[in-house]
Amino acid sequence: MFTELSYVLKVDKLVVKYGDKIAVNGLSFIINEGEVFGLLGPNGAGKTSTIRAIMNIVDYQGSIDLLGKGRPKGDLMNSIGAVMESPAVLESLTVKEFLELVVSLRKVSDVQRLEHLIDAFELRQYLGNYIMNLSQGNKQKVAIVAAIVHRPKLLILDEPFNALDVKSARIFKEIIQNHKKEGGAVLFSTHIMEIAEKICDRITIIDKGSEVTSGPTKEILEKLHAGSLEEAFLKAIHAEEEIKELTEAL
Amino acid sequence: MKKISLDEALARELLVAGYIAARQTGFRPSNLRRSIRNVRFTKIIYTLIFSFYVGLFAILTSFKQVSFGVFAGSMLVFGMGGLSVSSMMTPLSYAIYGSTNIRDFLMSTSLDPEDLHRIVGKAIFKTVDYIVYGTIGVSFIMSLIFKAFYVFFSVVMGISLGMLLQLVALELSYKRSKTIVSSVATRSVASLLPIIFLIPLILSGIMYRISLSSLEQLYFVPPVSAAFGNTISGALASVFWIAVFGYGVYRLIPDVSWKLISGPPSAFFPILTKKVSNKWKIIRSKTLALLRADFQAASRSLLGALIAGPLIVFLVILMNGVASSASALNVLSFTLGIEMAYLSILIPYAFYAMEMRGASALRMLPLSKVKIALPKLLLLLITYYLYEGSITAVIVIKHGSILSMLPFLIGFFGPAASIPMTGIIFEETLKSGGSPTVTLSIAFFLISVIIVAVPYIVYFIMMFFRMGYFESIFAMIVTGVLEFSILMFILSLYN
Repeated sequence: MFTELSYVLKVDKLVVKYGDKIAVNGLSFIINEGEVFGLLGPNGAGKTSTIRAIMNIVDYQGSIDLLGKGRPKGDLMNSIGAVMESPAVLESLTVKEFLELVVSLRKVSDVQRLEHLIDAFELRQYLGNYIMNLSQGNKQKVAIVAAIVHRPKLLILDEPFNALDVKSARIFKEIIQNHKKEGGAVLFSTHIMEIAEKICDRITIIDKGSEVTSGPTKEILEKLHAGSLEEAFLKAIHAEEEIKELTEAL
Repeated sequence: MKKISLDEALARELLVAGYIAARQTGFRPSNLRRSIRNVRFTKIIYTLIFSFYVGLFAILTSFKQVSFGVFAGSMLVFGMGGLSVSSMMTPLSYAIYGSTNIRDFLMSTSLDPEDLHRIVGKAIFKTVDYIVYGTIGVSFIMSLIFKAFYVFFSVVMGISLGMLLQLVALELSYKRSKTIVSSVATRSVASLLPIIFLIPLILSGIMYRISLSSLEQLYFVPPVSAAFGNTISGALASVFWIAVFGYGVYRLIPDVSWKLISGPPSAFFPILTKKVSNKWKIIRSKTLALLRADFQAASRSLLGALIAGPLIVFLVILMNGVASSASALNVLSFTLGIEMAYLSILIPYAFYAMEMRGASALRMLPLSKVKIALPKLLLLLITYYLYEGSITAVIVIKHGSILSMLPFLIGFFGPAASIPMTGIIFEETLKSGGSPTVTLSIAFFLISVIIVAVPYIVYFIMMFFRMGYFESIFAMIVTGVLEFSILMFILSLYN
C-alpha cells in the first residue's frame, strides 16, 4: 500500500472547465517516489487538461500539491520536467539557443549531461538549426532534452513517444526506468496501451473527465479479467460491445 | 442550410488560426465559441475605427475653420487607408504562417494548383474585406458630401499600395537567406515597408504648412497625385496608379498567400549551414538570459517592426526637434517628452507579443510572472533614457534650460507601470485562447495611455494650481511609484 508520506505529487478533487464544458470532474490521485503512474483514457477524456492544470497552463479548482510545497510555480517548477503533447519549445530560436536558455533559467551546472543527451538523441547536427525548421520528431527530442536536463524529481509525459523514431523511443524508455530507480516519479499519459502496460506501476483510467478505475496495473488486469491492458481499458470504458456493433455494421 | 464556399471557409479558418493562436502558444482558448465570435467582432471594430478616422479627417480638411490643408488631409487619409489593411494583415500573416494543415487539406482535394492558389488569395483578401469596403465606402460618401474627391482617391490609393507593400514584404521574407546578416537585412526591409503609412501621421505638423499649389509639378507622383483628385489630371493620374497597384496585388496575392500557409518565411528562419560553436553560452542571470532570448526572437520576427518602427519615429521626432527654433522647443518640450514616453513602451510590448509564440514553453521553466517582466523593465529603462535623454540634450543645447524636461528625466515610473499592465493583459490574453481579443486590445491601449499619462497629469494639475515646481515633480514621482507597485502586485497574483 502506498502511503502519503513519500508522495511527489498529490492531486485532490481536480476540476477543469472550458467555459460551460467540464473537462476534468473531481479527479484525485497520488504519485509516489520511484513510481511510474499512468493516466489513461480515450481522446477527450481529460488527460491533457489534467496535465495542463498541474503545469499551471489552465485555471482549475481543487488542490495540486508538489513535494508537500503546494502548487507548482516559480522555482518549484525546477522539480518538474514536462514533455507535452505538442512540443513546448520556442520555435524562433535555434536548438542551441533554446537549450542555452533552458540551462540558464534552470541553473543547470552539469553541462556534461546536456552534451550526453544531445548525443543520445542525435541532435548535434541540428544545434544551429531553427526549431521552426525541424521535423516533428526532432522538435520532440529537443523538448525531451529540455525536460530532463536538470534531473527533475517529477517527469510529466503527455504522449512523449509522438513522432519519435524507434532508437530514440528505446533510449527514452531506458531514461524513464533509470529515473524511477533513482527515486524519481513519472506521470505518464498515453493512449498507447502496449507502452503503458510495460512501464506503468499503477494506472488510473479516466473517461469524460472522471475516474473509471484505478490501481496497480496487475490488479486492474485481474479485476477486469483481461489478458492485456488494451482489453482491460476497453472493458473499463464499456467500449467492447460498441466496437463489436460498429464493426459488424461496416 | 446555407452552403459555404471554399474561399469563405478558408478565410474563416485563416482568421481563426490567426486569432486563436493555440497552435503557437500551446494554450487552449478557455471559451472557444467566444473566441470565434471575437474574430468577426475584431474585423467589425477595425472597420469602424478606420472608417471613423477616414471620415474625421475628411471633415477636418473640409471645414474652413479647422482646415489643416488639402495636402495634409489627403496624406492623412492615405496613411489611414494603408494602415487599415496592414494593421490587420501583419499580425494575421505572423500568426498563420506555417498553417500547413490548411495547405495539406487543399492539396488533398481534386482542384488544380492554379485554382488553389487563387482560392487562398481570395481567402486572404476576405480577411480584410470589411475594412476595405468600409473605408472606401465612407471616403466615397464624404467625397460626395464635401465635393472632396481627393479623399476617395487617397483612401483607395492607400489601401491598394498598403496591400501591395504588405505582399512585397511577405514575398521578401520568403527569399532564402544564407546568413544571419542577409536575413536581418531582409527582415528589416520587409518589416519597415508597411510603416511608411505612419509617416503622414508623424509629420502632420509639418505637412499642414505645405500648400497644394506648391506641389503642382508632382501631380503625377503617387501619393501626391491623390491630393489633386479634384482636378481631371490629378484624378486620371490617381486612377492610373491605383490600377498599377491593384494589378500588382492581383498578381502577387495567390503566390504569396500560398507561401504563407506552406511554411515559415525563410528570411526569418534561414536554413543555417554554418557549423555552430561547441561552447555553451550559459548566462547565470535569469533576467539577462530571457532578455537575450527575446532579442534573438525579435531579430527573426515580423513583430520586429514594433522595434524598428518606434526607432524610426524617434529619429524623426529628434530631427524635428533639431530643426525647430528655441522658442518653439520651449512650447513643444512637454509634447515631445510625452511622445518619447509613449514610444518607449512599444518595445516591451513587442517582446511580450513575441513570447506568445511558444508561451507554454516558458510555463515549464522556473519563472514567476514578475521575473518574466524584469527583462522588459530593464529594456524600457534603457530605451526611455535613450529617447528622453536625446531630446533633452537637443532642448538643452538649443534652449539652454533643462527645467522643462526634468519631469521626464525623473518620471520613469509612469511608463514603467505599463510593463506589469502589459503582463496582466498578456496573461488574460493567454487565458482567452492565446490571442488578443478585441476587448483586451482596446483595454490595453486605453489603459496604457492612461497609466503612462497619470503621473504627468498629476504634475500638470499641481502646476496649474501653482503648488510649486519641485512639489509637483514629487507628487508625480509618488503617483508613478504607486501605480507601478500596485500593478506589479496584481501581476504577481497570476503566479
